[in-house]
Amino acid sequence: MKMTPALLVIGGLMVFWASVSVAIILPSATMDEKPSDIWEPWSQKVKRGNDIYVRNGCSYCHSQFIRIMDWDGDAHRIAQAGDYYSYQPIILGTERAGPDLSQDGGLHPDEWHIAHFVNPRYTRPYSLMPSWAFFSPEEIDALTAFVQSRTGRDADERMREQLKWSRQAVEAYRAGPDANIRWIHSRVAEPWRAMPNPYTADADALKRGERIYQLDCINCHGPTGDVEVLRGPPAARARGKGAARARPRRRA
Amino acid sequence: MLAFTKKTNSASRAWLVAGAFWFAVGTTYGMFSAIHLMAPDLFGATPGLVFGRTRPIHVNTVIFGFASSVLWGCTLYAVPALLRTRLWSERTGWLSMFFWNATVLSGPITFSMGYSQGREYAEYIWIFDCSLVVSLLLMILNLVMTIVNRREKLLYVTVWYAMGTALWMAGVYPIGNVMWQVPSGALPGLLDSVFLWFYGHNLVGLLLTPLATGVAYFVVPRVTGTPLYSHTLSLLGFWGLVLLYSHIGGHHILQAPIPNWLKTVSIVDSMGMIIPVFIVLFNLWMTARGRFGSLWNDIGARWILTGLIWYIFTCTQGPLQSLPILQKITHFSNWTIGHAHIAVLGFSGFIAIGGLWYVLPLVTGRQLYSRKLASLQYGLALLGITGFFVVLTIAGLLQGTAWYHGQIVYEVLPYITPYMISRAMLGVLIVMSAYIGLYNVLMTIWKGRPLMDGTNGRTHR
Repeated sequence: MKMTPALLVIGGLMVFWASVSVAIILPSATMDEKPSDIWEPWSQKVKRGNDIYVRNGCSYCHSQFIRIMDWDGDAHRIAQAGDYYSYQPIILGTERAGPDLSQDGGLHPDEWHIAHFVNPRYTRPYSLMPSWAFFSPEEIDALTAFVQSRTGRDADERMREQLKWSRQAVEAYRAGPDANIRWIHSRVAEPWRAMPNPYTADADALKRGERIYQLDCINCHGPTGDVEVLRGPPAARARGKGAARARPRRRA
Repeated sequence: MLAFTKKTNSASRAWLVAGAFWFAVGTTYGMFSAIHLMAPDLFGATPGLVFGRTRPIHVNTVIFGFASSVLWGCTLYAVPALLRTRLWSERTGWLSMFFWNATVLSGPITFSMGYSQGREYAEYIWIFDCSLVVSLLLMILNLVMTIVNRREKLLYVTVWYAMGTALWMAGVYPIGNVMWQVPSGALPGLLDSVFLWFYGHNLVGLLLTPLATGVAYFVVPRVTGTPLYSHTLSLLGFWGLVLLYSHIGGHHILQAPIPNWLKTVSIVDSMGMIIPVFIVLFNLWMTARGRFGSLWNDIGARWILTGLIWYIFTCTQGPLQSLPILQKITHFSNWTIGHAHIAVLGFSGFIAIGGLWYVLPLVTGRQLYSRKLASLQYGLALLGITGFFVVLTIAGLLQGTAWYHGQIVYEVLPYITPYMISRAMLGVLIVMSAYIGLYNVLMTIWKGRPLMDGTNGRTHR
């Protein structure tokens, strides 16, 4: 075979476009998803959040599909094609330097996300995420709304539950220590309340518990766990100073 | 006006200088990204330096700015040389260089301000997508007219790859960037990912690979002074590439809910890629048989030889990686990042730099300013990329195995810290190599001694 200009140009284009017809045109013609059971349309705020997510490259570290082999805390159900119906753009991602976010909605309170966006190490000391403290409070709110919308209807259900219980917990806290303890106990089933703690509260165990607390809890709940209003970035926001101005804190 | 844009080989030279410049910029942004993964609070909350914005600048600048620019520069010299003619229009070459680089320049500017389409490798905003397509159309015109005006009847394999790249990319780029959807540049739903990864993989498959292969086919026989081993094999390699490579994008989203038949096609054709890749390698190997010393001694051909060795690694690892049994561990982890680096820097980047050192004296009429610096650059880049491959592969296996056995992503982060630190340190070597290369290019143009004889630049060592 001799390579002539005509063969090169016409042949090259024919083979290439034949491939396009298999890899692009055929899927376009046959992939016809219906919305899945958890699917719901995006609100304006969620759409805005996705826009911020896309433009700032969140997808380079966070994927948006759960695979059959995933065990992560957010892995509730295996992704279906219909989960993505009509979302535009929806970026699946190819890398995980952070958790998959496709089913993250409702797993944390809004305040947690706001604190996490302003200074990721505040809520997650090992996190590699950049601080997004330069975003306006409106942008952080939209981003939070987007993450809270992930898993569609299931996430809405989780958000409803979360709000219900946090409201009761705050009320109980405000009623004073005795009422608070009574409320906490009332949430534990009767047979369990009578059971002794098999984990002996000796000095070593307490030390271990203290370390876990200091690593994962202290920033929001205070040194002894008696803080009602969240401290740090969310608190600053609650006081109306704006999340953007809350300075990221270094990990202790 | 602008008489310098009419000088013979001036377009090629412009592409080469632009490529050397973007190598420095692109790796610098890679360095920012690497530092971020090591010490995420170092830059504070600086909008232009957050990972989500530096990474696309790094990736797009090294693909479009560095590797493809340098390879286009070499190609624009090689094609007329092989056709015993001149480039049809130097001005058109300059114009396509201008439009291409306008797109590349838009990366650091728009991404750092948060204007990006966000789809991996397809981030350039719409107007700059248009600019890149204009550049490709001008390139097609220039190549076609150069072929029409040729004085050598036979079309050598480098010419096929050059022509093919321009024709294919003019299709791949608008499709992959979904350019008819303004401004999102994306389709609704899952189908978008099919378009995106058709495009993403073809950037390597139908842009970097054919250009790099073409440059290797150009330089290797000229340096060894031997004829090409087999015309038939070069034909098989060429047609095999466009037939198989264009189908395999699906392996990037193999674990996502795309249609099963599409997954099957992408895996089968990924494995099939071994055939054209090894045909090309075998053909070049047999061409250079017994004369590897001459490849090693020519500073340009040395980079190309090394690039071809990385090609073996990349294109053995690539097909295997498409297999679900391997991907269940490696996907989403740093393993893939290691693979991407040996593909873009190890294979096409090394061949681009080799082509640069080989072609630069020919298009400037000056001897290489410093062979020692080019040699140092080689050592730094080789050490850097080899280290990258090792470190990122280990980190990836660690992450993948931990995840597979139930550890969550967050818990595994502290375990990869040492690898992220080593990667950043190795990155310093690559960044140094980029700046040394840029210095050497500029000094060759300003201070290089004139080439005395017409020995195709082979005496510049």
